[in-house]
Amino acid sequence: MSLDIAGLHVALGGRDVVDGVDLAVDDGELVGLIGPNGSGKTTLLRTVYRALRPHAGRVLVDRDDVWALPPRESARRTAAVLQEGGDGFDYDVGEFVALGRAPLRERGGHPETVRAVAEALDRVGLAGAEHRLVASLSGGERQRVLLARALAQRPRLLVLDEPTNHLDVRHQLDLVAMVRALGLTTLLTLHQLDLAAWCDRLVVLDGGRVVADGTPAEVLTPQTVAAVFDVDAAVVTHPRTGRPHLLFSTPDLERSHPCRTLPMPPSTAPPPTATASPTATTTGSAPPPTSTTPSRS
Amino acid sequence: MARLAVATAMSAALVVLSVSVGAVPIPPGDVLAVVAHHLLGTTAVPDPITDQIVWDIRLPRALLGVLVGGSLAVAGTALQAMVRNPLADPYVLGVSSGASLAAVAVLLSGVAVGGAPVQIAAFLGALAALLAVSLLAGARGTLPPLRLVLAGVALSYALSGTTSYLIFASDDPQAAQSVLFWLLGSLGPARWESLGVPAAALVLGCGWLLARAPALDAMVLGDEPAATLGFAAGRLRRELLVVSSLVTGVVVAVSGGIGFVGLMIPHLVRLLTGPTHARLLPLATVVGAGYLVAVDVVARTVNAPVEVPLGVVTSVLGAPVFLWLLRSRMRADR
Repeated sequence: MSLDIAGLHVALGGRDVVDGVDLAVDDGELVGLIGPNGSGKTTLLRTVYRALRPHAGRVLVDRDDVWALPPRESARRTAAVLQEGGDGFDYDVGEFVALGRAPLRERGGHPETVRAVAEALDRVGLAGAEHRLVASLSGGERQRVLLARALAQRPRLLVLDEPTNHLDVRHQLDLVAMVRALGLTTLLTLHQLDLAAWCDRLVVLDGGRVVADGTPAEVLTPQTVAAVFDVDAAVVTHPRTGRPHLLFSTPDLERSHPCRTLPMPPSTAPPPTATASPTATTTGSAPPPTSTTPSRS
Repeated sequence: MARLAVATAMSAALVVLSVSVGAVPIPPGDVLAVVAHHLLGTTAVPDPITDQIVWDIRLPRALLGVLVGGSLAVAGTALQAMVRNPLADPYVLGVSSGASLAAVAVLLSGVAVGGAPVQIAAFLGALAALLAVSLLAGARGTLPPLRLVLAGVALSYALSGTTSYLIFASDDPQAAQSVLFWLLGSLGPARWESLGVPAAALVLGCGWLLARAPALDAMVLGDEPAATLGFAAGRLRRELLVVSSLVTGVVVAVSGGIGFVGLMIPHLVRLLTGPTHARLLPLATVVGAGYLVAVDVVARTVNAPVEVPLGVVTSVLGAPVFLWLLRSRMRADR
């Protein structure tokens, strides 16, 4: 299974939201799509799960143009976890996840449906939750139920639109771990660049164009981040995982809220070396931590 | 399945009750004997007068109640799926008013209630009103609850006002009087011949919706989630528009404006079955049918011998349920 996007072009409201994007996701690869608000990430995804027809270019899933496939056939190959549609209405978890079997033309109560639902719930750590109401679940559980519905489709390509939004840090990491463990060909959009480090490959969109494409270490550089997100970034290497992480600030913030306990380093200075668990940046008499750049929470 | 059987038995019992109640009370046993005589050819006929009252007058009326109640529940279910909003029903959205206005315009030109021109006019009126309310409420297919209801109510007032004007401007007071009564909802003109079209519309509408049940289940989640499950929401919504207008138009043409049934019944049944349409639709149809037959019994007996319009009874019973729904929905949205 592979995803191949070539020359993709989408105009919305007279603006080129996606402006000539080429992007490939190889079999079993987890690719993260990052970029500032309005960079075209979500629009690009919508053309992949067949909700928005591109004006030019091709979206090939398994070498077939998605937009030449019947909707049901596309839904058998590609499942999507969206930000919309998780309210659950009056569905219970079992009914909700069973909706993922619709592309296979299974009706409720089918033994294969029951098995697929149980299996999908098991994979997201919600085994036996069939009879709870979706509306009664916590945000983290709801996100996992959405993922379970996508898994019930037994897709070969998984698409996720900012799956970690509104989740606390533990649930964000758990969700990323869960998606990684699935081993599916996956394309997802992310806002938190910290989480992006866990992708196999990152594609950076800005103004509807690909401005960087590579491993997290290649892409998450101060230069790229400054150019795309317009923030000052310092890259530190996580002392245990060895993955690159970013610490952010802006010149305005640094000027208006200088660190009172240490002399202000110039924002272009080389990044501070990694320090394990910087203590909270509370004002107090305790000796200051060596990390001087407050990280965005 | 068990629930559906119980509901069907109860609705059938209500039909028998409805036939036995009236100015001349007829024991349920005699009602069954007459029905058995006509359907199975059994010889035991109570007497010609009983036979005539049961078979020619009361049974068609009760069965029309079954069709009207079932159709309103089906139309309500369809509209609620279409606008993704449990506050929708033909009456609240002004669809009934649109059908009424078009039907009244035709009726005042001297065509009989239940005739084909009235039905066609009512269907077109319903379709136009539904299109108008969708456009008024706006926002790309997803209609926010409050905006939708406000648009529906406003449209409803405008259309009802126009209808009233037509009636009072009419130079035939007799016709105006009968149209006014019909407008508030009545099963009065029921004859065997008038059952055919509503029965066909109900079977067609319910059958179509059942065939599309999985798509409706997905569409409730939103257009984009439905797309990820392989359903084109846009086309489905256009189909729903036609089907619910057809069912509503036919019902309004034979029985006038009967409110809140399409709102109340699907919602209450959903509490039992959950939102899965393959289970919701059949039970809602049967419960709606039984409910309207019961309402008709109340309408005929509460102020006997004067008959109260059905719309009056359903509004008195339905409005509190609507308010309760509105309140709990708005709380859930916060």
